[in-house]
Amino acid sequence: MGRPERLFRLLLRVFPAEFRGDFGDQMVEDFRDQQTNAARLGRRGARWRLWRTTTIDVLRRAPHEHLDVLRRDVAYALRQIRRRPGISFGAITTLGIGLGLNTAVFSLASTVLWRSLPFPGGNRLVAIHEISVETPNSGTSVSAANFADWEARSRTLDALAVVGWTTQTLIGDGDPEHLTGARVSRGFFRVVPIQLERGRPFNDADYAPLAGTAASEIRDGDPVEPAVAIIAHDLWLRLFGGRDSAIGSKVRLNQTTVEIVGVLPQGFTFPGSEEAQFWQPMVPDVTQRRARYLSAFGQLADGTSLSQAQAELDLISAELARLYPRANKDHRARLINLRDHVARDVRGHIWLLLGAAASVLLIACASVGNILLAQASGRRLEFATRTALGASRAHLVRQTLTESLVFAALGGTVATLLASWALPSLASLAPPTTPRLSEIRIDGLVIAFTAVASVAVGLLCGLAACIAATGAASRPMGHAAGADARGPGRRFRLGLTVAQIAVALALAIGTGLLTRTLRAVTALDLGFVPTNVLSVGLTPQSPLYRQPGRKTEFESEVQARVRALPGVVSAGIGSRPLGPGTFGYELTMDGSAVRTVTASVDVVGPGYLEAIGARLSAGRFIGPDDTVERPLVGVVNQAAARAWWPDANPIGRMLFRDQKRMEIVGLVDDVRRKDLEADPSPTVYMATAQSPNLWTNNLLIRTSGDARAVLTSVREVMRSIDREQALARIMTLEDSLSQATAPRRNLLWLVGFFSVLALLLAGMGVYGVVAESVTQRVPEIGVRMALGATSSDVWKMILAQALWLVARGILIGLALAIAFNRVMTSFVFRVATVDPASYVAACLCVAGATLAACLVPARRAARVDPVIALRQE
Amino acid sequence: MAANDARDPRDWLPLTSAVFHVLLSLVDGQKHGYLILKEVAERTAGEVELSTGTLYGIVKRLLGEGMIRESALGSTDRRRAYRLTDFGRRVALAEAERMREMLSSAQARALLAKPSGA
Repeated sequence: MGRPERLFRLLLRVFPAEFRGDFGDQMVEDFRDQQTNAARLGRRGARWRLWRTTTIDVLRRAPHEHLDVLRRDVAYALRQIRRRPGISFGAITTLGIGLGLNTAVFSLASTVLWRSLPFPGGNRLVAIHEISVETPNSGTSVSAANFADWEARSRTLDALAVVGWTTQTLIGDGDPEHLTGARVSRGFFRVVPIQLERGRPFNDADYAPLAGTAASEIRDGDPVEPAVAIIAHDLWLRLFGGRDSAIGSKVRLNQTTVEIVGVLPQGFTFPGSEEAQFWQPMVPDVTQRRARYLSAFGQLADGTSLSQAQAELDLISAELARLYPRANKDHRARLINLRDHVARDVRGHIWLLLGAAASVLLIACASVGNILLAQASGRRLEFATRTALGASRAHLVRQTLTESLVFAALGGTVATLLASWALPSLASLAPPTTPRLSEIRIDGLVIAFTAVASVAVGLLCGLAACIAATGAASRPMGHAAGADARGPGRRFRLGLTVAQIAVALALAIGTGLLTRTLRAVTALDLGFVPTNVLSVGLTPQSPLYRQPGRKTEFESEVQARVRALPGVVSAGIGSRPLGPGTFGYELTMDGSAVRTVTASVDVVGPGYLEAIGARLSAGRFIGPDDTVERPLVGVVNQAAARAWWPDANPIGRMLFRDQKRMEIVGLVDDVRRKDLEADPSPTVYMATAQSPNLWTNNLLIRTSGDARAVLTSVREVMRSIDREQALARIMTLEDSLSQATAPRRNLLWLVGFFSVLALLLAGMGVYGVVAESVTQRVPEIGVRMALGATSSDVWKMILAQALWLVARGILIGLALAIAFNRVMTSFVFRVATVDPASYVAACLCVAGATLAACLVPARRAARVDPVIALRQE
Repeated sequence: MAANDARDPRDWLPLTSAVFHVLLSLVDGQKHGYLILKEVAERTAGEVELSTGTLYGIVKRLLGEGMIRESALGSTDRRRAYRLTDFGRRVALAEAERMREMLSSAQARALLAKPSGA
């Protein structure tokens, strides 16, 4: 064969092997004749033109032939599926469940962790924290003065804005309504250039009246409140029926008449202000450099990276630390991509869910691999026949892989449907702090993930079947069935089943650790008794209570009248346990600045500590006699006593607040705050009557029966005291506790569900292997029974085989769990990641479930009739 | 192939130009691939030049649909000759008649001049 023919034959390799086998020789002959003809015609470039047109034609034609082969293989695979409906249904369902779980979890992950925020330029938005040397890993809010300096000096951030929060009472014809709002500085709508549904963003005229003041309630004199607002879409529908006339309308928020200038688009939320129902302008008080209470955001300039902007802010921070050491020493600004900032609290949980879902998928793949292996073993006669008729090994492998890919494609379709159906349930089980839950959907990226995962799964499962197919094809026809029991296919199946058990055990151990963690969390000493306690948020408009004594009068009346209600055991004003509400306060131990301590302070009324069920260790609670005319008193918790008077009784000790002496009159056990699992910090309870400028705004009511039963009466009391005051944040302490433990509980539910699925699949795998073994060993069992073995002996033989299988799986699973135990470190609480109790319980559970799966085939084996069995042999 | 006789050749219309030319080249008897290529090029004065990739894709399809079959006559070790089946002949005929009807319509509308003497 000449060189041109060799080259042409090389070109023909782009065609499928079958096509080349049928027509390759002819094509080479025809091409040779065409070349000879071209040479004979003597035209210049004729051979080159022949090569060019032939090459283009071959390259254009080859994909059609490959598609044709694929079409035939898919049609064959579908025929095979229809011929074995039971097995096919099992395989498709198993893959559908495994892939569906992963699709659902991936859609959660892609939305929360990777999808751009739903704003124009969302991937260029950053959150700006101030971090200190003491707490380098947790960013804090920012101060207004520092923010103003960054805004003035930064060139890498196109726009900056700060966001604060407010609550106001909407006063109209009906009951007053408590609303949460956000207040934003001038640059906000440049940072987030959204298109409003109606109206306009804030302009300079809206900010002008607020310039030079802090729009907050704590300034002396009448604060300057914003006179305009942009309302949320839902509020617009509710108050104005979605009418255009809302723009320009006036509503009353607290004592201020406010004009509606805009409506936000439907579904708009901004990180940290998801509950805001109205937005108002704010001019931060740039004289405040030490008070850090604002959230800052920025937009990177075009072409600027996060690291470049961070480098610039580092320089600015260093300069501000030099200029204002008291406020900024050891503080600097840190930028974080806003999308990452939003997801920071749930990132670990989501990765754990992805890992758990992937584990279930691996087990599902092993199950389907086993099914396909068993199928391939059963079709060995077919494979051997086709090989004898000329089918190549590559052809069998290709067809087997195609069957597997068709299973996977059908499984992927089922998975997409399952995931769409399961997404709302998954969203409801996600940790409550999970952001952007409303955005979770099956989009192009998720479908692409499912497609890629389906292909990978199809190839993985098909690999097992290919081994059996090529092995069967190479054995002579009529090969004894018994030999298959010891062949590589069988060993591979056993290996897959052992792997399933191992992965199921690792998941079960994880579930065990999470269960122990939840128990540890729920067993925490709360320091209070949550049963039958209602927490009600008060919303007094502080300008109305500015006159001396008005605040005390209001609080006293509320507490006294609520205590007098039927069913109320005790009531008092103070912050809600497990909620926010305390604030940092500098106190000194001896009146000088020498020993200054920062305490969490809770301003409480008489009856509060009794209402929450706090335990008094020494002294007394805050009482009705602790008024402004009497010496200042305080009650401390155990953490404060240990920190400040470690070897002495705190009763009778003195602290100084604002240079005034305060006597410690009581010691209570630690009450857990918003972070349930964090050790309570030193806390001082001060009398609200002795703190005319400090508001706590929660009323805690202990009842003799159902706490919510008194709510109507409480509303009537409030209505009679102040018609324009709405009740807010109404919940029982049991609800509050449930919310606090929800992240742990929900994670356990999800991982536990995955673990149960994995165990089911592993059990099915064990059942399949043992059942197949029994079928193949029927003649052997018949011989044994004919020679005197009893049913009990057969039971023991089968169960021993199963036990050996399960034991290997458990050993590997234990090794896996120990190797990856560090992964669980951030998810456990007061439980070692190699917790013996969890490990033992998981091993017993997996062993029990998998051995239970063997009972049916073992019983079948014990009932073998030796006569029939020997006849079969 | 008695089973194929029951098929309506019109179900396979319209044929592509390349397929029709291949069938046409087999009307007068069996040929192998190179002769088909050569005959099509000569008949169309070079207007239609099939390449081997296209030709054997067509041959494979026509074999599968029963319009042509291999012929021992004209085949060698390295080349196979193909001939039209009855069904293939009817399909080619149906396509020719379809084109004739189109031609007649064009002539009736004076889009094309009728041949002199027609």
